[in-house]
Amino acid sequence: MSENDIPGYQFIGKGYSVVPVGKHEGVALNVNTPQDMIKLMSDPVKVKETVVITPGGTTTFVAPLLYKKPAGIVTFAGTPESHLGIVGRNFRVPIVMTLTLEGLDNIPDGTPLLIDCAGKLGSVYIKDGASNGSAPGDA
Amino acid sequence: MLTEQEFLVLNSLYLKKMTSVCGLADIAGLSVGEVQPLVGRFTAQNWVMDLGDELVIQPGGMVEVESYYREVFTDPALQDGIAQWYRRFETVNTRFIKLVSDWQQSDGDAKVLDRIVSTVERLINSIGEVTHLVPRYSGYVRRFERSIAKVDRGDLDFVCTPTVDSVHNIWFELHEDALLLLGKERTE
Repeated sequence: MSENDIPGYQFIGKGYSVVPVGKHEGVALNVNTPQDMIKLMSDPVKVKETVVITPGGTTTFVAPLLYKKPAGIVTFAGTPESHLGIVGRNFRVPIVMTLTLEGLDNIPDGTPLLIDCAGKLGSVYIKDGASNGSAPGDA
Repeated sequence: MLTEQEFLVLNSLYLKKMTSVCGLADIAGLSVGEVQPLVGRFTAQNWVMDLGDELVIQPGGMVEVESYYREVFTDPALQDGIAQWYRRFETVNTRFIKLVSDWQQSDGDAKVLDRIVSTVERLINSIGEVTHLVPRYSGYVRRFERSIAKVDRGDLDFVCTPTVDSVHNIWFELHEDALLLLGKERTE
């Protein structure tokens, strides 16, 4: 267990927190294209349980998902001073932007996650036993 | 290729991402009676998905909108005029995004709000310089003026709440519109 881990969860990275909404759990889903977004959008129940993993803060196609209140959003680029940040802040959805992963290359679909948006920085954790570092879609 | 009116409606959904038929009519500056049959056709062609009370554009619809941008707005004078305008927009855009973010995190600081309003008013004036090139841009002026008037009356949802026609929403759509028109990628 590393110093950043919390009971039951393994720390996997840190980024900018958009809005301080505390800890939220969800299941990872990589959304890389508008088509991925539309597919997810048509299942409102799944959206609420999903932590959307998307490549960059400029990928504004994920913004409509905020209306359906996803469990969280994690990006690998961008800052809270962006369109996605402004909309996310308004909906008070946990968003971690420009996540720097530690010990993983990616977050596979289906990974149970915990997002902690406590202050200016947000941390992402994987539920113990769920980390495998495989490619998206393998889970 | 889309007709001008079809483009106006489908492009409004492309930029807005998700809205109702009434919302679409309002953005496009058309009546619900004009928009409803077009939406019916777009849905039948699988260009638009009807989620019940909201519409979302589909990949086929996105292709149609992007083709229209590529094929219609090719006049060099138009491209040059909008490119010059966009360079000025980029500067004010950075300031606007920062101001809105600051305002959200300041519990509604009135001084920051004043700066947001004056920034939008400056943008409204600058849009007026290019409406002869892209007449539909006057629709952004109409919407900005209406939303700023609501903010002035104390309805602060019209600053940046995504579920109403807030100045931030309108700003975002105009930005996307200009990027598509110029064939540029978003950088922020």
